[in-house]
Amino acid sequence: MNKGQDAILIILVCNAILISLLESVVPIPMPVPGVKLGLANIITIIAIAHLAFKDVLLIVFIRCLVVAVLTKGITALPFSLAGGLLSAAVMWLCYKYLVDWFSVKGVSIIGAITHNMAQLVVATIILRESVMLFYLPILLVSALVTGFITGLISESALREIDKRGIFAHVA
Amino acid sequence: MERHAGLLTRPKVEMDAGLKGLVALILAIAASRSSNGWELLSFALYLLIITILLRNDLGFIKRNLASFGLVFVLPYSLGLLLSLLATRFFPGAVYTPPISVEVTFFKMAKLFFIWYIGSLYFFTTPFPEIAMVLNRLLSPLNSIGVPVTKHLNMVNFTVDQLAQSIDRFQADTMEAARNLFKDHDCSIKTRLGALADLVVGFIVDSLQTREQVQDEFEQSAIPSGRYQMRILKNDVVALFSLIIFLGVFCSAARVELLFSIL
Repeated sequence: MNKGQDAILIILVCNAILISLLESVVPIPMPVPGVKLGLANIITIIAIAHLAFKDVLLIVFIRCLVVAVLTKGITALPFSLAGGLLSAAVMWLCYKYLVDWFSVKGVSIIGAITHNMAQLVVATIILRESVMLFYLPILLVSALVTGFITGLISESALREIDKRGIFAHVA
Repeated sequence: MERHAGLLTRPKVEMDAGLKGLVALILAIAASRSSNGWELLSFALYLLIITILLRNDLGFIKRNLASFGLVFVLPYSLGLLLSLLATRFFPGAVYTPPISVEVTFFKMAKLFFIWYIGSLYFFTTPFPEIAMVLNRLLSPLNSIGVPVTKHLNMVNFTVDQLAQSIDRFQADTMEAARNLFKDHDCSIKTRLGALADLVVGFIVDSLQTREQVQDEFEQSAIPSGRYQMRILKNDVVALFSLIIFLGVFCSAARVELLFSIL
């Protein structure tokens, strides 16, 4: 690992948490309450584009842990981890191996869909109530909207980061 | 995020982090095993008393109810509504699982208590102390190649970094984003483009502090294996109250049994 690699991971985790605070000022109409834009996903996409897979997972893991400890409570951790890690893995696969099929916006939408599905499946398993799965269509529609918006911002962010060569020194 | 402030200050009642964790674990197990209304009621009362003693902030209960509602109650309610609509409009075409609102209520109440106990523990215990307990418990993993100490140190350091940078972020970036969305003349695409510029600017600026952050991180190690359980007066009171509660909890099961016989 390069000198300063730990710092990059820490900074990206902090950025993901801080950027997600911007959701409170972005007036995006959502079909149901409680659906979040998922701006933290921008950092996951940036990490996927520039860092190794294990670093991406570590960033998501630490972010979920810190957010669970600081805001939602540790019991929310299984949801955050299931959604975060699974969506990061699926986005990584799409970004690295299905590049001809998916743009950054497409990767982001796939990530949002995976995230929502994973969280709902975990809630269904914990509560042992399959009736919750009827909520899935609403979450999928929301994921299309939120994933597209996050993807739009991520695309622009990646373009700017590449132009400025910010990660050029990271092997 | 305003709740971070509470986490980073000293708790109202100081207790040993390990012992408090053990009490929380016993309570969570008891919550998962509760099976009737009396037990749930005794749980609710005990948790209310603990909350007042540890935090003296009833808003904490409201915030937890809201978070829990968003994660469990809302998806369940909407799922239930959609399943009823599906049964109503497409009878026989859609499989709807058997629904028992009473059983689900009990499950949700138990789950909420477990959720709440975890939340209360983490909100009333300084994270460095939790990290020391976890480091002590998980340190054997270090020897098999899982760098638990390093990752716990990263989490601990991230919490510190967030505390340092949140005020500046709210004053600069969030204020700029707020102004961006105040302007009603621009299209949503333009605004999202401007938001992307803002986000990129923030990321670029923060990554420029990489070397400084690395140096600070290397100097901020969790004291490895330093956790030693120290039992204070508060710990004795907590253990004593837990024993009384568990006695009441077991009695509640008998009261329910008595009522069912009568």
